[in-house]
Amino acid sequence: MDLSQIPLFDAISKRLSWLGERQSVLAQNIANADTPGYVAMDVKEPNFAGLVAGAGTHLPLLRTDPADIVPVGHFEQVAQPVTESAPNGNAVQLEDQMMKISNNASDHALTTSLYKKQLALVKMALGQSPTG
Amino acid sequence: MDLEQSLQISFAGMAAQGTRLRVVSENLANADSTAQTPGGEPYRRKVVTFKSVLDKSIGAMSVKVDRIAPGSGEFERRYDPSHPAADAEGYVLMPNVNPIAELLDMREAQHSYQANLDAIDAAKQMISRTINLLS
Repeated sequence: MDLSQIPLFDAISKRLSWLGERQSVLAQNIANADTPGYVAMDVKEPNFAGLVAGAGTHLPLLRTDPADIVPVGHFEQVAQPVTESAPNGNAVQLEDQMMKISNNASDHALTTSLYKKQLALVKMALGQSPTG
Repeated sequence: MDLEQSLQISFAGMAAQGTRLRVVSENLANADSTAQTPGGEPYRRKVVTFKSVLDKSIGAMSVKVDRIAPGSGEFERRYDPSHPAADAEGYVLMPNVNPIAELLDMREAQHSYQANLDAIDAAKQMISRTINLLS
């Protein structure tokens, strides 16, 4: 059974990879918190609700040959709005970035537990004990 | 994997802040290092500058120390005729190190280092939660 055929699982795995990419962009901001001229970046959030609701209504591109290029899941990066910047042009607010990182981590916890619950549900439907 | 990239970027940030701390302590340690010869220049404070570089192996902007440049600022003149580095008028040039500015710089480096550590913590939590999906 291909779990990614189930819309919710597909949305969850896309969200997990988005959260992972966002984490690395936020870590990049923090590493560059004292770099002159550096402006904090963020990752644009795709429409996850639409991913669940609209699944099945559009057909993905079919791969007819193993050599076909598979679209890789990269997300668009955008610069964060600058609220204040240091005299050297650096516009990274450490507090802001820490807040975003902790939000990101709790979103990740939420998404992984959602995945576990959904998997338990599928197992239950298959007549297995959800814990086993 | 993105989360491991995030760890690498944070490690680079910590290394850069570590270099900054090293230079700050160099400045503080040499706050009284005068010249040995009459009229010579004393220790000149050093300043670290950072720059962001594209790390191609992880495809993200990492950070590294750009250069360690000599800091500008006037040397203080202190009257001490018996000092070996005293000039004809009896004045000795003292290093342009301001301990308070150095301490502030040190505190800032410490904050940034801590922030990188916290980012590593968050990434580690995310990784272990992902691994826990197996159980």
